Amino acid sequence: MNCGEILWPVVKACEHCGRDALEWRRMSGRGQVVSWCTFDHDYYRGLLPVPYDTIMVELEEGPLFVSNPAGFTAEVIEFRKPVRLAFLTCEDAAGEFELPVFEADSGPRKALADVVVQSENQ
Amino acid sequence: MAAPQPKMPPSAAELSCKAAIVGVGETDFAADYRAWRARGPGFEAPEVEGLAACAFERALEDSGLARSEIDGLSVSFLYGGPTAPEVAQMLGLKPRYMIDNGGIMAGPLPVACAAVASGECDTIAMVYAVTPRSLARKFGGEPMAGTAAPPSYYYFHPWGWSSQAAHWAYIWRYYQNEFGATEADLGAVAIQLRNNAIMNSNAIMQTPLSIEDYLASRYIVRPLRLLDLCLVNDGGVCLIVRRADRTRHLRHAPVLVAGWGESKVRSKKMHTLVRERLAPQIQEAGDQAFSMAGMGVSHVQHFECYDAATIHLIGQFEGFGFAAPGEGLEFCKAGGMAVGGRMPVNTAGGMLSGAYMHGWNHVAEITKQLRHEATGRQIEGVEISLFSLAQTDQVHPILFKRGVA
Repeated sequence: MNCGEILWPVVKACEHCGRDALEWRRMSGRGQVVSWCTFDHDYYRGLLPVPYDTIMVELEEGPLFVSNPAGFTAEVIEFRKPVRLAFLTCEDAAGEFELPVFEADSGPRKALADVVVQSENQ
Repeated sequence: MAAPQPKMPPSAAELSCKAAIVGVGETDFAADYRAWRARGPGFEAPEVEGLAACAFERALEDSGLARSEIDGLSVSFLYGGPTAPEVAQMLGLKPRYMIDNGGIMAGPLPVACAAVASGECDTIAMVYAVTPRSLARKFGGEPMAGTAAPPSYYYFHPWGWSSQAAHWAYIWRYYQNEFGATEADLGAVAIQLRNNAIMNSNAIMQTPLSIEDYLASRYIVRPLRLLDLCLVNDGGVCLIVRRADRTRHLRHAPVLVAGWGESKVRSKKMHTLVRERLAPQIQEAGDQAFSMAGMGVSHVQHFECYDAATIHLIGQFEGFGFAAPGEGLEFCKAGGMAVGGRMPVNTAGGMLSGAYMHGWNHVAEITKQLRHEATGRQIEGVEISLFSLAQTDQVHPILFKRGVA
């Protein structure tokens, strides 16, 4: 039996119970932005054009996931902005791959927030 | 490559105050930095051998001991350098105990103290030197060939999230949201450390800093600016550590190493770093150090803190309980971190405005303060100093106590 801990980034053994019988599990793909930063300094020497944004997403299941925003920039981020998973087709020396990124989530979560506001107004 | 760090000795009360710093030597951080910036005719980039030798000779002179009394040697060249036997030959030493010990402060000092306590040597020279500026060392992006990088440096490469500064940037953005702090609030830390540096003639940064200067400085990883991040410079530091029972009648008051601790993040690294600012590790390692020394945090009169970034200093300051979470910046703005304040911090300018010597500069400053020889910036009557080294995933505090001269 494993302890059910969800781990990210990849580790050799569970940080919680120490077992190494790990398996991949599909996440909901939903989360909230809990921190973010913009790279102005060109650490990658032109490989990634600056400035560019990165976000730290708290997945619905708990883990924190470092990624990039898709379709929005740091200027419009508010703490706990809802986001959902998207994929960006990229290429590196090993070939083409799908990079997990996050786009603004204007789905059910926002509707739920609307309901709360309405009930407060009544 | 730097040698792997040997295991930290236990935080055992019987090792408390068994060894003391009796000599300290530093290279000319400010003059060497200016020379590198100017790079005029005849400029030669410094090498670790020369820096280490300079720091050692100054420390030996400072201690008043004879070269032949040095029977231990610990060398720390973070970005590569000669081995301990090679350094012994270069410095004309015949040590009976030698160790190559990583580079960053906190680890090497307890190991040296334990060697002294167990009788492997009586007087150990600890030599450290680095040349990141001359090597044009990068602190982010693709890892440099042949260098080990912490996992957080390469896990997130696909998203371009790589650099020391990015860790602190995430912390600061989270902190801003949690406590409503502003960029000008954080600027107070850079200004305070600059004010401290101005009282230290060997500090690299000597120009007074205003909040306008701070807010006009360029972003590196937004919301952090150039002035939120530590310097990069070449230099060396040497500490001479001796059996505490052989420190009477020396040139200076001995500075006893009273306690140390070590705590590494075991799970949820990003959560612990960004959202807790390493508070669980600070608590755990701090408890070890204070318990070993038989002291409490209320005994601390001076705090030297690994200031890789302004916000990282605040995280440690609050983590040790010198201010409540969210109140560290107000403490700083009210002058509490100045010499004469409620808890003076990084009185030589730290790594933000003094010199980036991986914590060795902080221990050198503690030595001067506890000897009561920190000319122009002396904390009146200081007897106990705390050094905190926090990296992105581990915390190593060391407690120091002024001994009897």
